[in-house]
Amino acid sequence: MKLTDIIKKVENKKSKFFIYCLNSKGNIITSVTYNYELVMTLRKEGYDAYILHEDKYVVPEFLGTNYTDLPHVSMSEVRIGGADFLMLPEVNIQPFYDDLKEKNIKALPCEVVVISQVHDFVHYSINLARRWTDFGITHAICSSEHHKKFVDETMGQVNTHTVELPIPKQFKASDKPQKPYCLIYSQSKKDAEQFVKIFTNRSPFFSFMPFQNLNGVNHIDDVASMMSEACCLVWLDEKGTSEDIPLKAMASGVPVIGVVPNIIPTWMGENENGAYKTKDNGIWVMNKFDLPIAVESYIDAWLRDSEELSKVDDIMTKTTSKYTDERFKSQLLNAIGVILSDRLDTLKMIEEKNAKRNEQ
Amino acid sequence: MQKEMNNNNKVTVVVPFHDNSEEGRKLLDGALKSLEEQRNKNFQVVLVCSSQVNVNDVDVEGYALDIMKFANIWGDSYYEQINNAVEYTVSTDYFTILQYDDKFRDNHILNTELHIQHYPNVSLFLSYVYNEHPNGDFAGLNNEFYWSTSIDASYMGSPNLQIIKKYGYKNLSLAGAVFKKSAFLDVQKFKTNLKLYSEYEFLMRLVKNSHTLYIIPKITYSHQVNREGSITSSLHGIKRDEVLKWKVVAESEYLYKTQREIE
Repeated sequence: MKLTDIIKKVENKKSKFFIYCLNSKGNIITSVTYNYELVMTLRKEGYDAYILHEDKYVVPEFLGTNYTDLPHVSMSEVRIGGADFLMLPEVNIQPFYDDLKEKNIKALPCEVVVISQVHDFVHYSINLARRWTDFGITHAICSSEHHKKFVDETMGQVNTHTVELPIPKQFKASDKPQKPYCLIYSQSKKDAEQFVKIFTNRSPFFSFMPFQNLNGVNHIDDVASMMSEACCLVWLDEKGTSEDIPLKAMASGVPVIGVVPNIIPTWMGENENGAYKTKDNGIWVMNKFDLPIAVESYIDAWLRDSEELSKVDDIMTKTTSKYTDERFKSQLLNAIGVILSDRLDTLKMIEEKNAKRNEQ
Repeated sequence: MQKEMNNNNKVTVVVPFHDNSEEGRKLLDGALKSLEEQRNKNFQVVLVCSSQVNVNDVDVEGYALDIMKFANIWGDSYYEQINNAVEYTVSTDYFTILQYDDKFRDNHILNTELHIQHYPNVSLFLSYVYNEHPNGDFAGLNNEFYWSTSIDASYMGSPNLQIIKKYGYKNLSLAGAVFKKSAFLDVQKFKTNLKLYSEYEFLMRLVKNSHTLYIIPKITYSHQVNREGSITSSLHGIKRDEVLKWKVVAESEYLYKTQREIE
């Protein structure tokens, strides 16, 4: 395709957006939800967006039926042109370029954009002393404000855009009385089991309180249904890769008792003169071994309907009310607008250079 | 009847009272104060005085409560007091019982109203009972067991007849229970001729007659245990054979709504 045609395509918003999605193998993975939501919103706004995946791929069941109609394309089928955009999760950047090198592909015709959600993966997945810009990447979409800040401070020179996932409509506070069971979410089932054992041994009076593990609940509607009646969520995710889970719980009116992750989400805490202060929208402990004590105190207060708890409700609502579809759409369209405009500038610059070279 | 009852109230609190000694009045004062401290004030009170108590000697004027005094002249047993009070004085759809030596937690009426609103088909609500010794020491909970994982999940919070028969004789407590009046009258009230296991028999009879039971998973009632002079203290020392006999009687009598003569 000629450069002028490519420019026309970008100008007319006819570019294709391929968003690479990991195979979740049925597990609830926030990053997968994020990518599907990006594709869905882009398509609703008239962009030609696709889920790009490995050849052996199953559409994750936990997402619900909303996403099943989205177009999927596998790596072996995909054809990417100069007007198109390849959006890769940060964890795939280095392996992807290593793979290109192996196949003797020197450069891609399209623009590559990073989708970055996990602090740990930003540097973990690239080789020492490498930055995304070394691969020609100039834009990154970050899943939260605090993640954007982290990327800005440590990755340098990349244009970052915050696009925060909305809380799905299924997650809303019920006026029905809550039931006496606690939800628990941890990165591994083992951590959850260990917590329950410690809690039961420490607080035998509350051993009648069942814990329901969200790990392994495969459908978003089931998660919403469980959250609508639970009395609390125990969140044990020190890496903070599942920060949508506590937000969904808060939106469902379920207080969260959790360990402060290694990097504090903006909705959880604020940096005040160099020291982080957590907000009162949940019960946050610094050390996972303090978690059973916090859960015991909470259950005791819940059983007595302590009036202190109603104060948390108001703050939870305040925290979650901003995570709307409209905000997600607006942040995404702003980011895409800037990315398209930069791409257009680059293409036009190349066109100008080519023209000058031809004149000479 | 001393006052016109306000029928817009949804719940009547029935307080059976049989000990007008200084100690008894002190305990009653604690019970009535716990009613004054309710976060939700949407209730009225019926103080049922047994024939051992002259109703005119019981002064309840100083309380910020809608209290009606009722002289039960027909009998002295605890369950007779409740049966007659419900039949002759309760004009609301639901009633709850506060023993004069116990206390409601400040969330009792709040939870009663919330659960009545959301579970209109339930005929009897129990809640978690906080048992304490007269010196205030914690003596364990009641009814929390029915929400635990050891029970088939489909019956969590709403035990059926099979579960009541299996566990109810030792684990279920009616202290602070909230009754739907129509259901209570439908199953013909408490049986007053059972020396032991009256509540166990009542629960089985209620559920057998297609009424639903639900356990409010909140601590809303403080029950004093091991108090000298309480109704249950008079039952201490009953031999094991007799206890078992009354259990067997309860397990046969629940099949009948009417109170039959027991040999």
